[in-house]
Amino acid sequence: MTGVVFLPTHTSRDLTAGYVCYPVVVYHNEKVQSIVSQKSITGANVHERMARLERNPARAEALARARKRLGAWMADEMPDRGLAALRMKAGMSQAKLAELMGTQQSNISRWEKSTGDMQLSTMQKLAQVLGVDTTDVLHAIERHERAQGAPA
Amino acid sequence: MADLIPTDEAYAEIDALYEVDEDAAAMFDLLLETLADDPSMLDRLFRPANHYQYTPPFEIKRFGELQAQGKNVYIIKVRHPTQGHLLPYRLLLGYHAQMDTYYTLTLIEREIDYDVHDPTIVAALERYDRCGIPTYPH
Repeated sequence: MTGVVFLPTHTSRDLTAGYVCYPVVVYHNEKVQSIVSQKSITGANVHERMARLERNPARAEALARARKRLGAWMADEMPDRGLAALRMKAGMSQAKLAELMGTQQSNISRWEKSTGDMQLSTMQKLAQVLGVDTTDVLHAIERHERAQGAPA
Repeated sequence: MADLIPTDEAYAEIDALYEVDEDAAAMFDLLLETLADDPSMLDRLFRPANHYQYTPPFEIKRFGELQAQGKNVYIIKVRHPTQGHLLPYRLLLGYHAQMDTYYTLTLIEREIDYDVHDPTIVAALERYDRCGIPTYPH
């Protein structure tokens, strides 16, 4: 449907009032359902695929090399991704780090985006698993918070 | 915030790349994992001004000739993060603006040189349509 439709509801000598109707695109319900379900299924597939690749030693090594390279770059160029950079420099996925820390991957994801609620004991454990000093974790958090607070 | 949906076809192409260039394939998988973990990276990578501030390992450009046809396709070039050179492969993404969702369409070799008549690009456009991405008026 195209164009605009005016539906008068009140008419007087000086004024005509009513509704102006604009065309809108309405997706067929089945199509929306299909896209939404595809989204949730495929979103999970990214991590399932990585878990499968990590089970192949050669693939796991290639991924670890790639993470180390990307982590080094992120540490220099993206201060608000400091914790992710530390993890990547250690060659670990979020899933692997979560497994080694005995927590959920969603917690790792949350800490990497917002470090505000991380306890000191968590920082110490994170440092231990990543093989760095606790001060490295603290510095990464400080840089993250500075970058987050900096004007865009 | 944008979502990223890797298609099975693009993943199959990355799988094939592992057989010939394991490190390059791992970089593409890592790119998709990083974007899945933090979709805000997508928005950041697509902000052109950022490209002048640093040399990102993932460089994103519009696919001009396809965009002129109304196909909202982008090219991701992956750079070796420490050596700086571009890997000889490109990932094509389709963007569904109404859904704020990117779809990985295909992994191509640089030699294809964005020839829109190349069978790989033609197949990518079929995937574009299958993903339900509209052809936008230009």
